[in-house]
Amino acid sequence: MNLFIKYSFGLLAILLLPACEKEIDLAISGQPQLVVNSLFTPDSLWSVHVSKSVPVVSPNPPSPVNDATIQLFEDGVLLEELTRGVNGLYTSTTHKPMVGKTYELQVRDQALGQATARERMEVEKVAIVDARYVAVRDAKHEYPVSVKVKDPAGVSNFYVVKVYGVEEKGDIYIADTRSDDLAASSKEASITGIGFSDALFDGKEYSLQLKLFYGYPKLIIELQNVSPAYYQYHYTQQLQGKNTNDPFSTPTEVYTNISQGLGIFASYQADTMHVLPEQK
Amino acid sequence: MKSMRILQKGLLLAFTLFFCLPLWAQSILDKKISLPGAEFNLERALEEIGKRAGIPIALSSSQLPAQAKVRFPSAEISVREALDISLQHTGLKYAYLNGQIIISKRAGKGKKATVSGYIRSAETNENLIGANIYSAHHQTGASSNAYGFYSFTLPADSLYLRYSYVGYQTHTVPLLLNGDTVINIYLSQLSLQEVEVLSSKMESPTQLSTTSRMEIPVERIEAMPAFFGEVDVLKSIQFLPGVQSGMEGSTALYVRGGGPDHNLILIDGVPVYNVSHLFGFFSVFNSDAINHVELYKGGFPARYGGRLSSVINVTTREGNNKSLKGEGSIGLISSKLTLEGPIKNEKTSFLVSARRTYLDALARPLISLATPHTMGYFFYDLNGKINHQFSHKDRLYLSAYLGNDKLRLKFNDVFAEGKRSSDDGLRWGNITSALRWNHIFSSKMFSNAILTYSSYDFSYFSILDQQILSGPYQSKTSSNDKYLSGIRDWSLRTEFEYFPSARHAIRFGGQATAHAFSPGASRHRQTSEQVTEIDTAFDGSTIHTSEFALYAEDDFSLTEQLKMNLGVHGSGYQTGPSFYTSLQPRLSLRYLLRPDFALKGSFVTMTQYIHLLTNSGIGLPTDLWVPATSRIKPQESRQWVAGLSKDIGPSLEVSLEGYYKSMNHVIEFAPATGFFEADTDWESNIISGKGESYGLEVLLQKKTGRLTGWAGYTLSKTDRQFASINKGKKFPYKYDRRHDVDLTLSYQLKPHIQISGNWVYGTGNAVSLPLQRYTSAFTLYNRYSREVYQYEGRNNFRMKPVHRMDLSISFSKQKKWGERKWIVSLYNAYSRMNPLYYTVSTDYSAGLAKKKFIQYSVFPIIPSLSYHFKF
Repeated sequence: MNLFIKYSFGLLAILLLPACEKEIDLAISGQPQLVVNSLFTPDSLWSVHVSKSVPVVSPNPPSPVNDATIQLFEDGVLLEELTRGVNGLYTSTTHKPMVGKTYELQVRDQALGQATARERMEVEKVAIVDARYVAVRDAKHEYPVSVKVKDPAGVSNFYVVKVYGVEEKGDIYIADTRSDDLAASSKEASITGIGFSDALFDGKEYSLQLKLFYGYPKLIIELQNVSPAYYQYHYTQQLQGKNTNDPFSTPTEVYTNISQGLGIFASYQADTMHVLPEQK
Repeated sequence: MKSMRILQKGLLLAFTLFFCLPLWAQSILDKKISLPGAEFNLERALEEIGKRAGIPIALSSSQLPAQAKVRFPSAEISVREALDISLQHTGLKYAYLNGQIIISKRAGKGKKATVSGYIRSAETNENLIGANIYSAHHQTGASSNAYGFYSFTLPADSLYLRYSYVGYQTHTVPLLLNGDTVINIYLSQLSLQEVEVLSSKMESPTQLSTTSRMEIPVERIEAMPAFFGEVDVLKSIQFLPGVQSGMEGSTALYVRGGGPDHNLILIDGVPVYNVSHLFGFFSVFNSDAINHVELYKGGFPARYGGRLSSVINVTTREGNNKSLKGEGSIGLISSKLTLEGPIKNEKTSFLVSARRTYLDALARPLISLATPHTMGYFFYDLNGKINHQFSHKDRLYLSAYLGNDKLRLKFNDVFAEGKRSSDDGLRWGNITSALRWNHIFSSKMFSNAILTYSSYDFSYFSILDQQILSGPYQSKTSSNDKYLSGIRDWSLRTEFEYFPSARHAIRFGGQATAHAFSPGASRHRQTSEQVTEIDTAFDGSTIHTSEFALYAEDDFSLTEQLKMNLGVHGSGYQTGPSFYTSLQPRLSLRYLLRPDFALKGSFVTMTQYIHLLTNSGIGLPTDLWVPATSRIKPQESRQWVAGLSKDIGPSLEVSLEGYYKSMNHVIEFAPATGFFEADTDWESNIISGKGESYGLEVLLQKKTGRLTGWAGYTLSKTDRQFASINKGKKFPYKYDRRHDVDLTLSYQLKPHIQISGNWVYGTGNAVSLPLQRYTSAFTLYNRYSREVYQYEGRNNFRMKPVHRMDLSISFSKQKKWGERKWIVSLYNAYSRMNPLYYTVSTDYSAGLAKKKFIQYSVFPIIPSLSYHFKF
């Protein structure tokens, strides 16, 4: 009987191996849409990127739209028609967003039509109280980082924290970051940053725990206090990345506040801190 | 049996010399016969009539007045006239039934009596559930309940009662019924040779008032080809029309558009909250321990409540109380052993059944050889039952089920500077237990009181330790993560069954259940010499709720043609400060157009107070049971059914049912939430909406003979609608399946060889696939490119259709010690690669990031071999 069991198991293992994947052709396309992206902050001049979506299996990447017309309104008054740049980037040479104002974008493209978006710039800057970085790997071979914030009380705040690593020569890289922190809404991030909300610590100081996969001689921590639209966009995009190839989950639609188009038009304010590693 | 002996002395004097082909009663009674002109006593006269008419005449000689004399006219007269002459002034009457003339006393006006008792297996003393009792004389019948008890009230009369049950020899009892009588019947199992001659004398579903109900004999389940050789109750139910299987290989059930949590799955009357082993590929039911399986898809009687879409009632065996018996099997991935026997004087019996997989034992040495990991996975089930009969009126049962899945991964690593170890584990499982007391108050009143406990727990832990003992980075760190969730129920239920007459079967009762939910408690603990100690615990609170229910139903015949089951189920639910109530009318009816052809219909409303938070819907252990709350309302459904049921010949039944079901307050994760988000504040992460399902189901079934099985077809449509999904528009449910064909057959090739086959076809599942991709905003402010997928509508695409054939052949042989059987099975015999899911993949091979759709499939052809034995 022992032999029977051993051979049975061997057979079972062999039979399961052919479970396979194969490429399939699906008649899926959809219409190209206007994509408008602008994450704005009072610290920077206005900048909007316009591009066009492509079918999922298209051999080409999404292409920038360079001949659109973009009008920017402040509290309902035309502020400026943004200047065309290259690769779908449209900028202002004079204006920056201002707290307390409502902004509206009108983007027109001859082929793709008109898309609009509106956002009120009302997030305040939240300062980093403290940040610590230990240049010793922990039990999981990662480098612990903590970022302490003092959350404003009585208002829902949403944050995104980004970590940049500075090499000896001064080159700056986006650090691959991970977090097991309960407050973190996204567990892994690179260019998007780690998102978290103040739901668990409204009005209190909180130290968010992060992990870096690689160590750097110096870090730059950027803490963004973001609008709900920004946070929703950030969160759904993280979740889509996590769920897309998970057969047990429902695919996530990424949030958009662009009417008649895709993308995001949302505000934030950022504080940064340079952090040197603590030596043992 | 006592009644039988009384009657045997004077019974059956007149049998004919030969049997003619079936004739209509009218023509038999009108047949002309010549009778001798001499004077006879009544008994002799009736014997002469029987002889000359060629009809058996059944009577009890003790009923015949000894002084009665009969003289027939010399001319030919009809049988009817001869009987009229013979029986005048005797107080006797006659009736032609089923090829014989029955002589009986004229009943006293209005006098009735009740026959009651248990129907059991002669071999094992097991109760036979749903066995039929039929009086041809009165053309009415009854059936035994879940404990084998029956009660049948009839006019006081002499009559024949026929007891029948699928797979057992039909037994006919002649009876002079002049007062309440107890008859316990022991039916003998048919041998393999006899199966083919099993007649159609069972009461067919056509006669029942219920709709959308099906019983699946355990023998049928065991005859079906098995996945990895593991016979599975839930997978056999998936072959019924109106029941969808979801993902390939999974045991999940989606009944008439309902979700996986809409099924009330009972084992000995106790709800089981997670019926899956091995991430949904096997169910918790060990077929060796099962006596009876019953499924309701609609037309729910009032005694059931608490779920929207189905009731699956699994009753385990009680244990042979005559002799010690055993059975078991050895398969590719698991082995089973069942022992049963008497404990004392046929009054007490026990049954213990165990099953365990041994993949872990087989795989561990191989894994250890290849890696520094130790990994193991196994599941086991343990069923136990003990019952004791205190008297004819009282019986006590104690039953329990325990099942667990365990997954463990250990890692030990020693390196130059130190060492590191990790230990991760997953465990999930159910415990159910029931203490049941059957009591017979009278021949017309049966009661059942049951105290039950049911729990489901899921836990995860991860322990990590690292010590760097030399070099510049010396440190000691450890972390410990835990996650726990579960549900626990205590319930007390009383049920009464009252049979005032043959036309009425009344049930009433009540239930109180205390639920304790632990929707998710997590703890993270980390100690390190470099970082401040972290110890976080979140949401370990338990939510206590209470559920109450009262019900009453009457299964009654208004006329010979019209029978209905009318009832009401009232329930209440206390959750925090809120108290929900619900009054649920239930009606199902049958109208006989002909004795073998019925119109059927039903209307039911159902309310469900507990919800399952699931991303997958396939029964993953991470699914969370949560209660209705002040914010999350109970789920409700209404279902209408209309259909036809027809018996074709002695062994074929065909049914056609159309249904419409609407559901309200069904739940779903809010867009962009999931399991890990749900444990922070699950109430704010779920949304409720509506569901709708309608369809047509056809079932052709053959229960007896050498060839048995069924063919089913379902045409259906199922939608969901949520305000915040799909822009508020309706969208297809993931397991909306327009066409579904199921065919399952078994053929007894020889007495010891049986071949079986299944074939299924189903429309592909509805899935959400992206249409376009576009540039992320996070591309702009960095040097890296990132793209986002654009979806347009939920479940906007159909995967390819699914079809599959399974085959098996079994060889059994009687041995000195009992019986052995080899079963060879082929799952997915023609190795169809059915789609499990589709993804978008990026191919970097040509220097470009080329996107393409990939189909993933599992389970190609899987042969299996298992060895079964009985002693």
